[in-house]
Amino acid sequence: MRVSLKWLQDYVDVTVSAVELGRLLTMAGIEVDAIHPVGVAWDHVWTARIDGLSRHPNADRLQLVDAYYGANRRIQVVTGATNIAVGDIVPVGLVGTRYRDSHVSPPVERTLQPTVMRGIPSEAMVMSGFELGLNDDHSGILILPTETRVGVPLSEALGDTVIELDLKGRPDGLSMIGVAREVAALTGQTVRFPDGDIQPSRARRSDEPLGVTIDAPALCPRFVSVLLKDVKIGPSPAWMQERLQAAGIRAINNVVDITNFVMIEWGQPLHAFDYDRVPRGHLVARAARAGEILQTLAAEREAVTLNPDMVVVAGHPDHGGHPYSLAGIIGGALTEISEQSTSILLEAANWKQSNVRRTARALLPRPTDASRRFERGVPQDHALPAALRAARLMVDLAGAIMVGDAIDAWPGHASRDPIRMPISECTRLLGITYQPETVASVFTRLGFAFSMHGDGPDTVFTVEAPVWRLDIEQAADLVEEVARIDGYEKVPSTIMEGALPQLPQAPSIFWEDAVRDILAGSGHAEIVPYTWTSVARLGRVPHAASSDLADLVDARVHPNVGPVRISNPASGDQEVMRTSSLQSMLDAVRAGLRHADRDVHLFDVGRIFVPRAGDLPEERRIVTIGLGAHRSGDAIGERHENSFHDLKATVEAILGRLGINGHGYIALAHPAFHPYRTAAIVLDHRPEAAGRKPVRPEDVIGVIGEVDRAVASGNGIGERVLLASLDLDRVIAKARDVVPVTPLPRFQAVIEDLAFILPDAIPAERLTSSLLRTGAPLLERLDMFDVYTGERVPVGTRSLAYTLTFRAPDHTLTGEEVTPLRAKIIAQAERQVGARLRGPDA
Amino acid sequence: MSDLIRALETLEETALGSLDGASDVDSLERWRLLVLGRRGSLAETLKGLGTLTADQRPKAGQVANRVKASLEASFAVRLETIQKEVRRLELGAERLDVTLPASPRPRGSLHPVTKIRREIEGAFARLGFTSVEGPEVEWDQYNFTMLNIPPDHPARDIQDSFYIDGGSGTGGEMLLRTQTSPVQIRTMLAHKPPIRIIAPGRTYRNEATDASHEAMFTQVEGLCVDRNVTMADLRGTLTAVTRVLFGPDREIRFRCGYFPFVEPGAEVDMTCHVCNGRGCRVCKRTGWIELGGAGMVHPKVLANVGIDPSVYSGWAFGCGLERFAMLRYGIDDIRLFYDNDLRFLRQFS
Repeated sequence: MRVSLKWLQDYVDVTVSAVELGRLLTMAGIEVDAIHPVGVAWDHVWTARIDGLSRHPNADRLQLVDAYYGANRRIQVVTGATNIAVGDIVPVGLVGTRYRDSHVSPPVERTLQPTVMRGIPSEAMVMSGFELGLNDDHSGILILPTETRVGVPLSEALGDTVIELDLKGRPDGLSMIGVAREVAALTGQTVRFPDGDIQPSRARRSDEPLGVTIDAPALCPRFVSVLLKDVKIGPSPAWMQERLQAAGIRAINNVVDITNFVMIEWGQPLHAFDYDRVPRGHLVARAARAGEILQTLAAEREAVTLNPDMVVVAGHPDHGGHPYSLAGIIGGALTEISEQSTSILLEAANWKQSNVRRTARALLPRPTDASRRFERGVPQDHALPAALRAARLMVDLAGAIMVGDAIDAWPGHASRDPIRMPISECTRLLGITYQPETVASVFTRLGFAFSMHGDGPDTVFTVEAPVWRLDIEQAADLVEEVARIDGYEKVPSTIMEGALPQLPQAPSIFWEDAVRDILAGSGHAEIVPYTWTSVARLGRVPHAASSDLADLVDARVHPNVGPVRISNPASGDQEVMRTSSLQSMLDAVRAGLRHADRDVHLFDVGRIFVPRAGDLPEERRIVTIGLGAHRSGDAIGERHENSFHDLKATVEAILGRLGINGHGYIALAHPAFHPYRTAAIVLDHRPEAAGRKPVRPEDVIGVIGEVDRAVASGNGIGERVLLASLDLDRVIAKARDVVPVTPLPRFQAVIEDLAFILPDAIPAERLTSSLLRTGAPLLERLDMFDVYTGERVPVGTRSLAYTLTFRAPDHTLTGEEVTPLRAKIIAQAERQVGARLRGPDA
Repeated sequence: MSDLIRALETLEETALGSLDGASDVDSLERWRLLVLGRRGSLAETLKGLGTLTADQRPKAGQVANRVKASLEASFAVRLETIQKEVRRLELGAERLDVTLPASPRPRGSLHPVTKIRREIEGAFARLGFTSVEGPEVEWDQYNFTMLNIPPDHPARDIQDSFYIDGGSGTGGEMLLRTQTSPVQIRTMLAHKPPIRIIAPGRTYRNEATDASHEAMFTQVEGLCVDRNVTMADLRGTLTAVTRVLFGPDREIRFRCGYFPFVEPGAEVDMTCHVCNGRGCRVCKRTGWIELGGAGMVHPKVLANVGIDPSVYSGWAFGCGLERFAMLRYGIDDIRLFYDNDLRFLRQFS
């Protein structure tokens, strides 16, 4: 809301500077968005009376103005303007005046210099509103109100300051009177209410019917109607135009301007119907009919189609019952005031907030001045005073007469209960103990009617709910009033006492952060991608088609489901919530590779959204790691390829931190990945049973592998990319933070190296598993130290060399114990997985 | 006898003179054999001792011992000098340019929102606050209605929402939560006071993006419910926390503010951490920096979750984590947070 201080002064004395007023209002909860001084640039501009006008001797289109600007000062001005007459009071700018020149586009600011126009010297100019920077009207000279004093600086006559207020929670602030009440309370002044005294000029005659029917009292609690006749449509006076302009409303004619003026003054929207177009002068507030069409007066003049949830003001049913206006929102063309209108039916009604809001949102591109007020709440009590104030102005400014009394239909009249506020409530909520006089003084300043009972800390206030403050409903609201008027800065600062709550920390937050630390500590940068995306983007990482294991992997970290769809996305990239984190990781890797050819190592600990029928989607925690093809080597300039096993080491670090063991990696064919460099990560993995026992869906926790070349390039990446994705929720369910320590060994170990030849087709883990199982419990550790493929082993095989550490917990092992065990290990390796011991010459 | 003594002294002089010529370990060893060896010149000269009389021997023996000790000591010194030199040369061959860059090892980094969240969680944890999470796709009922923002309430304009297609059910419509306040509702429904929680999390608002607005952003909210919890406690808590984050001189001020779920409500400002409240570019010359909104939990909200507002009171606050991070790290454009530009992210390693 734009508040002109000049206008505000009509209702309250503003005793502080605009800046101080802004501060006071802001601290009290009415935020000041901006303060616009009007007229600061008018250093050399004066108010002048035109004492003479004559033709320029050398130019038909120019006039010579004899301008008198007080104290016997006159100046001759050459002008091209034609809208001026002798006696008009106009602004005259002397040499040095800064003005906006509209003869060029875009307009520029100039400083007036002495000049000679067609032989006549000119050292001043008469000015338009545009040139003054006051408005956009450059069609003629700004004519000042006749009561303007002549010979004073224009800033004195016309200067103003406009404060822009942000009124989120204060519906009453959308009116000058509301702001005036607030200013009065904050500065200790009193409010002057505008003149709404009016008596009908005469009673209605029988041919001057007037009627109101409220068919929908729940949606229209009050409807006031006033008949005004003999109206002379014309411009409204300059003071009113000036005020409307300051409020950001265009002046149209006296009738429309008066309704707008009173709307801003009282916060009560009004509407003027052309009485002669309203059969029987009868207005009906009723629900719209399905499919009913109304031609509105909105800027676009569009016709809107109504439905029964909406409310209209319509004509008498005997006369077709046509809709005349969209109640509380906008008028209609059928009963619009025209230049020829002489009789006006004035509406000051009250409409249900939520209904106005819903209807306005459904039908119009933006709210109207009226709907903005009604949806925030307009006091029912304001309808009659606003209607009478408007009638009074119509009489004063449009030559109207008021015919008969106003009709006041008020089916929704309800009294509000007084609010009881013990003063202890202030102490309980604010931590401030007020003196009863302080509270009483605040209520007095606010104009609230109240009574007090009891004394000291037992004082109880009973406050009549102020009709203009619909936001005040209960004691807590009054506590806020006391605090804000007495000063929020008085709230002290205390440290809380009381028992500490026993609310356990959710383990998920702890584990998410543990995983972040591991990944950041091992050189990965954390990214946070948008959780929304487009279907097209999601489609850039394909899903499994037929393989059982790949389906299970998809179900866990890359589900092939219709995503959660946003019904009102701001752009195509926000149409769905992501069902997978793989694509956004590829995007980030691609972006990273734009600036670096190595060490693009990223991770994302975030959520994917898996729809559930009839319920909120599952928000599954996923950790995703993405690596570009290369990392730095140890030496300067050196670059190594990132391998599957490098990434596997990172996954192992995470699972290790979460205390997971018994998991494994099963080679996986998945269309998004390299067919031979990809694995499913599974819990409760038993290599000896691999391939024979189906993997249980709940054991699958993720995927790791090299991205398929075509998929990578489909995501804009021209090199190898490695991805791992883990269902963190699944892993967290199995996580252990505290793993009991194993005591350090007390006896010597026997350490031996053995190498085996193993066919390529047999996964290494099967040999490892065979060795461990056969060697148990004396085989304490098994460390692979060499993998060899080449001419020294048969084609289709490789050599795997291990260090075996044997140890007994209770004595030092002897050769007699180890030798047969070693033989058994070797024999079992051959029998179970076809591994042969590699001899010295093999 | 004096001949022998003279011979010994001459030998000492000559041998010490030639010792200086031994410049490496090999030539030094040759000198040792020549002079001190079993057949060396000292041994040869000492053979002359046998020709001396018994009374001459002690005197000659004394001189001989002195000369031997002198030669051996000089040898040891020389040997050490040469060995030092050798070692010096060996190490010299291993000279490094210590100003060359460190070995390339990529440093990881936590996202600035993660870092600031942890700092805030840490500051609140000291005061007994637990971090709580909730869903990002929420019911309208939890995000708005139970927070005293009924359908068709103008306060919904302040938080324009993204709705979910076909998403309606027990809690009304589904939407992307516009605030983490629904976590407060869920917590209060599930737990009895005393409650002290903070709720960090992702939130979404349907608004145009610019340098200070993102449609997806992160909030942290705090909630404290107990008997006799006051706005003064809120101010004390926020003062303590901002001092941890922004330095011990920070002060908190409340301005009256409107949020439908609190009453009384407040806008929270902190004295500018850059200029200490004197006024600078960061605080737009006001000396104050806006942190977020706060207030006493609205009695209707408490009643909605079954907590008696006449017995219990509570405070709540909310602020944007990105805003905190921007202030803390001097970031000037919120869009950098979700651009995932490595050049930006690596600055937090």
